[in-house]
Amino acid sequence: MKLLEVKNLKTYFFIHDQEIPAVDGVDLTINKGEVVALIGESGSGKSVTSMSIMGLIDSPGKIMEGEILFHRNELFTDNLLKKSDRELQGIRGNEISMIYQDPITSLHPMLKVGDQVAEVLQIHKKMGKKQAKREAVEMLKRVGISDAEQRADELPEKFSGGMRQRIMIAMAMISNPKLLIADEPTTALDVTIQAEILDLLRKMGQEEDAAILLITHDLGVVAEMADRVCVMYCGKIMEEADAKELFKHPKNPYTQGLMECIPRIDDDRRKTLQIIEGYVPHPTDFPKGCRFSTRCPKVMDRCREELPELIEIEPGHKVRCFLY
Amino acid sequence: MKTEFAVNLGKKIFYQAIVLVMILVIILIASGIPTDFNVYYEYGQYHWSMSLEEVRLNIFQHFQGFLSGEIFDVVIAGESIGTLFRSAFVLSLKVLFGGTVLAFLIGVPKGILDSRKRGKSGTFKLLQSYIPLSIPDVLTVGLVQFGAIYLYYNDITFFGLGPIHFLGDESWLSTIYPIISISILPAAYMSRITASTIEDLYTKQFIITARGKGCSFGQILRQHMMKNIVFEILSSSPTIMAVMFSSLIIIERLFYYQGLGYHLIFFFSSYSLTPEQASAAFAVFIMGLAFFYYMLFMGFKGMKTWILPKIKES
Repeated sequence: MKLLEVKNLKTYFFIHDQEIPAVDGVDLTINKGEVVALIGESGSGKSVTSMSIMGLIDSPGKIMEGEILFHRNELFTDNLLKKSDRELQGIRGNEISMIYQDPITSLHPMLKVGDQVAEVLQIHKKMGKKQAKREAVEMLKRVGISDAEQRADELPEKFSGGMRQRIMIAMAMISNPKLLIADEPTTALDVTIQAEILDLLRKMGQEEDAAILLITHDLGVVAEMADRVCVMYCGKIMEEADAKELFKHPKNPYTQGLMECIPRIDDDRRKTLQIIEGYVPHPTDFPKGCRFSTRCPKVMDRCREELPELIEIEPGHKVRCFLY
Repeated sequence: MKTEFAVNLGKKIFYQAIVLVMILVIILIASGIPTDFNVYYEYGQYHWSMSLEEVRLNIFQHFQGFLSGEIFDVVIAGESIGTLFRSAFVLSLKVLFGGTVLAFLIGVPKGILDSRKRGKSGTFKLLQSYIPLSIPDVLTVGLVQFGAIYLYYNDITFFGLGPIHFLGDESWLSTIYPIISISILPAAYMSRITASTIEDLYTKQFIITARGKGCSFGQILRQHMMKNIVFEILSSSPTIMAVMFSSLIIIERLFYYQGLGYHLIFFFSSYSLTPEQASAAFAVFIMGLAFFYYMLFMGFKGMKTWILPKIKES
């Protein structure tokens, strides 16, 4: 059952009279309880997509067109882009939650962590401060904060990066959201902590039956977590497929390039690491045709002139490329 | 660690006490110069209205009178200088305190409105804060007085208070206009501080997290920003206070409100007092004002340098 449908989402930024199409016609579907990974290089529009879903795009950014359909249940569907800010406040943190890349800066430095977690319940469940705090302590225990009763009264500076990300997860999951957006949740963390946080995310998602939109550029994380993967490049979805299928049979030359970049433990050590040649084009200077045409090893004349559509080549496998 | 802190604090207080004593001595010397002392140019030559020996003697007597406390007993218009100073000090304190409270009550909400209107009618809103900051304070006070005169002569009243006279200090109502006048500049200042703090905080990741939790602007403001706003305003309090003290003299003089500032100008310019009376009274008032300002300034500065960072750290 579909939970969230993003249709033709266009989010542009207007800086110094220049139009920057950060997200340019993105289509995305997330089903109930599913883990969807949105991958791509830095600047490909992953985070802007997630912020658009949350309704947190500020000036100079603007959502130009599209639909974000949130299926509350079989009967009720809301287009989040038609909602007022007040209505969105009732959805944010309640039905759709988000955790961010940097747990160090995501928590208010002058507020106790317990209060920051409890605030969600006070806003959305209209709980009293004491009851919300009790629930927050329970949630902190669930995400693995030891001595939660005492530590709930401490400021974020007393916690390590990994612990702070656990607190962020507690904050995001305390209201039992239907969708959790995790924007590069392990990027700022020590490698040894990353697996713990991913495990916790997966466990919490399963326990609460929440869908997860996982934004990352770490293909290892994707392989570990995702049911389905969408590959973004320069504001467009280049390929979408089941995770296993995508890793086994990447179709788009960009996805293939990404896969080849992953170093493997059994690789010949003398072999040079693969890279995708060239640079990501500047957002104000995207090529006329396919956005990847300036770097694609299989580029054709047509690619430079026309933008290919995202077409379904197999059930559940969509590709944006003239080769298919 | 605590001992080191105490030693550092002690040193600072000692240095500041020396600075305060130096300032007071300089003021006492300056105010000890007789008010009828003059240097003039006549027939191609400079002349002194009295000998330097007389000036030196006057300064010396001034010091003696001040240190023995006799200076406070000098009688002016039937009241001792000490009594006059106390009543004037209370009047000035009312204006300063009322002005601070009013400035906070106007400035913070105005700053909040300015920051929220950014990109809409922002430029006009911003100008409302910039105009009072950019025009001379005497003009601001003059405009308030002009409004007060207009209201008085047209019998326009608010909240059933009746017509408020635009001069004097007979009733508590007379404090209203000086308070309004003294609060305008600090209110504009606080408004800019509030607006810029909100603008600055609004892009911080923890505020984005709060918005992501579903907090409304009001909740973000109360729970996540107010501490920072108050911190910023308190950090700027030495500057705000300097602005208020400089306005105090003008305001009290223009509104004929007999606080410290009014008396300072009166003593210096009145012909109804003997030079000795004027000099003694001026010395007491200027020393009192300087001492009061210095203590307040150091209190706020100490809070900015020592207490606020400690609270932030803890």
